[in-house]
Amino acid sequence: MRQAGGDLEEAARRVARGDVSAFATLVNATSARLYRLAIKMMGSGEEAEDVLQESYARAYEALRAGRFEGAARVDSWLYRIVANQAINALRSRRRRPAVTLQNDDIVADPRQASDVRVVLRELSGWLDALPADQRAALVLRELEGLPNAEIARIMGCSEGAVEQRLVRARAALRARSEQ
Amino acid sequence: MTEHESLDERLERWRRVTDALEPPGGLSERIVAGVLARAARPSWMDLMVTYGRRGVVAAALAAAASLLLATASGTVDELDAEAANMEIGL
Repeated sequence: MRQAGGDLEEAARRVARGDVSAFATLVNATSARLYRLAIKMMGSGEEAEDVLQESYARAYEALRAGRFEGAARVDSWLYRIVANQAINALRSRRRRPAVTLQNDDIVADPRQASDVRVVLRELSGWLDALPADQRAALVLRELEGLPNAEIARIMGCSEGAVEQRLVRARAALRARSEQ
Repeated sequence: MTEHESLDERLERWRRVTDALEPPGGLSERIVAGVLARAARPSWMDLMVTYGRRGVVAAALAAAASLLLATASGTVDELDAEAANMEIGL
């Protein structure tokens, strides 16, 4: 993140007062990190961008309505919004017919694109078989490096439930790797 | 990727590649434009407050007008009956 925490808090206060340019500052400072989170969760650049768009729209509404009270840092608060939005998107994806994942235009650097595309295709192929909650727990733990307590807070469940989801997810992936 | 890559090695490789990922150009601009366009659109609640209230007033006025007309001129059945009576000279 390019901005120090205090700058982001100030930008959030300015958004609440109706300063549109402060919202652009907030998005510029946080979107790269949150895009990586969203693409790890969804496995698709297109869906990651949809998740980000919806998340920032909700955050903007909350800031304008004075619903962000500053109990958490702004970047942590945004991170939780994106994680939750991605979990909801994964759950609703289960209820819809399967979609073909497109990974075009997912990265800034075209030289990077083929490596990333290969990994995302692989990641999607493996993680799509998991239930949404197991997938989210695994991504947050293994790809984002969050402690179980933080994952539990994000997912609104106990640490025990997180541990159980991780054990099941790893067992399913291990079974697949042995096939 | 190796033939005998363990699950932990696979997850570590995924983490390494996705951590290095830079978002596509113009992402922040697209997000800001999308959010501000959405915020500028009237919400369902705004529409209800603005037009819903007008709709309720219009419906109440229409109901009152119908009542006045019916009281002054009679119902459709009464008008039909009057016309029938005139035809037979009553």
